Amino acid sequence: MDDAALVDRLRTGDEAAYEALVRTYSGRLLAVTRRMLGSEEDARDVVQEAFISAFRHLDGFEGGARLSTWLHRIAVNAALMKLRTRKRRPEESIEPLLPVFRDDGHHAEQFQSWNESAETAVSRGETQAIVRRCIERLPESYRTVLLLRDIEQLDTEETAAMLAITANAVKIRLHRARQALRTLLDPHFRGVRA
Amino acid sequence: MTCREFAEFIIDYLSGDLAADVRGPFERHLSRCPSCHAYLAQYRSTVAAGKDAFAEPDGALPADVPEDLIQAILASRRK
Repeated sequence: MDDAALVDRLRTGDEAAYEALVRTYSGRLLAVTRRMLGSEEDARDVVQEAFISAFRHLDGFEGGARLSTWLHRIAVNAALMKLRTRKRRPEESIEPLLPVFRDDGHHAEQFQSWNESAETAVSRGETQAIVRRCIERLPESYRTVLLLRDIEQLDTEETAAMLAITANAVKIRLHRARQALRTLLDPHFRGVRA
Repeated sequence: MTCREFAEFIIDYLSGDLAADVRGPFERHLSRCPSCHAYLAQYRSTVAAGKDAFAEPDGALPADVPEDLIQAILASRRK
């Protein structure tokens, strides 16, 4: 069944269509909320909230977009709302994770290329685990932008709208987040040898 | 161009948005500064590693959703 046909059936209140929607897309949405929230309980709650929101706003689905894309955006927004309600410690500064420069503008540190993990004994799964742990260590406002742009593949304008910040602020935060993540990954990848 | 300036233009360079008048100095610095050359490679690797961090191994589909969650979602719609 294509998206348009499914949505038509949903709008008539077809119960079987609702079940088809949930069974088809809940796995993908759960993967999204797990990535953004880290907590299985929160991830499940947010998937449920996302489907409730989708059911209520079916009229907002325009045929030009894919249903999967529309649901993905709803799940991402719901996860962001959950993040905002969490009690948070004051956010740590990202400055200590950014590159340091001398007064003449040159790097204070000399960088050498990492060896590609594919050429080493480190498995892809191990690398992924290392990277996820380092992403978790980023200050939240920067981690959120990295997740939305690089992981969830939202574009700059969409990310800016979701976070109620400017597109330029998104770009700056993304760049800082990537630079900080590089710093956190460096001890793990620098000494890796083929 | 200094290393500090080079670092600030990396995101535009990788997205193809580097201004025409900046591209020349950027690429000249890249060709002359081994440290920035290595830093750009690490930055690229970092972006790729981040994008891959949550990918399912071997392109597998996301894990099955617990049936109790499916039922909870369907029940919440009926309320």
